[in-house]
Amino acid sequence: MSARGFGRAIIEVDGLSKHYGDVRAVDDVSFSVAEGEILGLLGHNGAGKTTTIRMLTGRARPTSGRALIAGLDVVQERERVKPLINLVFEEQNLYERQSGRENLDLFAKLYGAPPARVPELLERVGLTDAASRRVRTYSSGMKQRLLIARALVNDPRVLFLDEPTKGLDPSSARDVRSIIREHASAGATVFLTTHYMEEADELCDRVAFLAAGRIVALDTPRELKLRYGERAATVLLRDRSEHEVRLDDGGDAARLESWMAAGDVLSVHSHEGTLEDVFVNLAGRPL
Amino acid sequence: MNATRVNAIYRKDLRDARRDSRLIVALLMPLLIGVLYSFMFKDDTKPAAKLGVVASAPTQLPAALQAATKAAVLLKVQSFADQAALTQQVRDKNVDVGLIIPGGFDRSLKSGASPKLTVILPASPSFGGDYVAAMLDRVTQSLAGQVPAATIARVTLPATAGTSDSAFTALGARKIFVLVAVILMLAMIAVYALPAVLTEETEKRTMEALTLIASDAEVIAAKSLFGLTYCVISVPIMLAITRVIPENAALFAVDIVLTSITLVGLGLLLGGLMKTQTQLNTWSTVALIPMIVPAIVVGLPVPGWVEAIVSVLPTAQTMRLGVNALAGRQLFGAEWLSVAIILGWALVGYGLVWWRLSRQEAA
Repeated sequence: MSARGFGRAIIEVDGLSKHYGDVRAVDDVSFSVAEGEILGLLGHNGAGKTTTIRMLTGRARPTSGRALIAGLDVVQERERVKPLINLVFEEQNLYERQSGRENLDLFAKLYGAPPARVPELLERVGLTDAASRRVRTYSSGMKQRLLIARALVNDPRVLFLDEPTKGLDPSSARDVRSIIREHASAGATVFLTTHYMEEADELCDRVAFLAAGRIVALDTPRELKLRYGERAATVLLRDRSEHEVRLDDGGDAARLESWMAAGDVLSVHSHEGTLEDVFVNLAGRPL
Repeated sequence: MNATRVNAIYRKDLRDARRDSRLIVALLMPLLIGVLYSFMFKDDTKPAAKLGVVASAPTQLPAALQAATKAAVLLKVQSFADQAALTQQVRDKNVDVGLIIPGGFDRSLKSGASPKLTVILPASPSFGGDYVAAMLDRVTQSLAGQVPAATIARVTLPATAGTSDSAFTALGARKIFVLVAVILMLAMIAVYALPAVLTEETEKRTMEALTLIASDAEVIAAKSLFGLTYCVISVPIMLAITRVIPENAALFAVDIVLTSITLVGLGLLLGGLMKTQTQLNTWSTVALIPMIVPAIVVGLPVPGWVEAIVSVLPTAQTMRLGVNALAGRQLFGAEWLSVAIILGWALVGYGLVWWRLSRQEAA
């Protein structure tokens, strides 16, 4: 499955599997992600999202298959891949006894980034005023923004994010999404996992659904909704009653036609299916 | 290996440790124990020494020796049936100095006949033994009332490897206990402070953030440097506060550096095995026992099998070398063997750390 409408592929995954004994955490997964693209990986807990990210970032060795980042094998050429990527972890794994600036300084040195990068990033994530405070005094949203700043310290060509807005209030989540979008618009590739369908719909150029370690669908949110979602309409009748009709259902369509013919319809609001619907159709249960 | 990365992680650890109350307590505790020992025991406590005597007739010499040395040594006298029994006791270091007094010694001395007196000393005499032997000439002159008095034949027994119960008498309890506190401090850094830093990185998953760019080897190198820094800084602080100055500073430095390297290796291994702080709190106490008990046991009269077991443990050898360094002479023989045993444990520790890293890499 290849990327469409973007540059050349920067992530190429071919037959990637990770087995823990009899458990197939990731099972023969293949896809590619283009430069500048935002790909979302969706699935239930245990579907294999984090394991996929672990393999792509070189923190777990695949049982079989291979993954290339910028043409480099993530296992064989791990040391060359490292400077090209970065990751926002699901856990807020920061040094809590150190200040925000000290956290970023450490990783700037590890990645060989120029010292000016640290104040620039603090400014970008809105933490300049709190930079000297110890991280343990930060709110969850501030920590998440610092995590993202840390992941941007090397200006990665591929940014992985594992549940980047989990547990955040709507305002902090919006800030985080804005930073991600900004990074992608500068030409970087973003690979994220999320539980939030609206987030995937809003942010991602393409979405992959993972179930039991396998990709069951991969396309743009719009295509997925058209293909797997149910088109529906909310119909308001003259008697002020409201009805939900499924436009692809023969019975519902006939009912709507009869209301229209009788002149009973006051208004019709059609809407396409949601990613949630798509996921339920494909995986059998909601996220 | 990238030195900039190692240095960045090392400096982060040093900064973090200064703000970590667990580590501060872990270092302060042995330091306070050392200071406490230093106050409890004084250097000017009179050392005890045992004089073994074989005399075929009554003689005033042992009593005269006791009187002459009482200002410096608490001298106990014990009689033996024959020279062989006395020699064995001196060899076993149950007796500090042996004296073979011939029959009619007092009469011969007074008549100016210069009778022969045999003094038996171990290869590494205690302070008390040395002092008594040195006083013999003066005491016999005083008893004879003339010069020359007795002819003194000095027999020094060949050195044997093993513990020396003269360590306490040679150094005094204060220095011995400060040395034990130094080893406790190194052990606390190794089995608690260093593993705590590693375990916290694992538990809070900051280790994964580090190894996104740094290699496992770079992280381990930084942690080793962190542990070694704490060891080599804390020991001089302890010595300065307790005012214990090694007679042989070079040997003491070698002892501390080798022990620090070894214990840091073992600490890295322990830290790699522990996944949570709770696990570490449980197991570090267990790991502390084989590190601190051998240091306490060295120099004490313990059964042979206990001595054999503790002798293969690194801190027993640290204690032996430390005692020799503080005393400025070989109270314990075979220093090369002590160095070899400590280095052997270093190889075991770092070897296992390397093996674990290789397995981790392949997972």
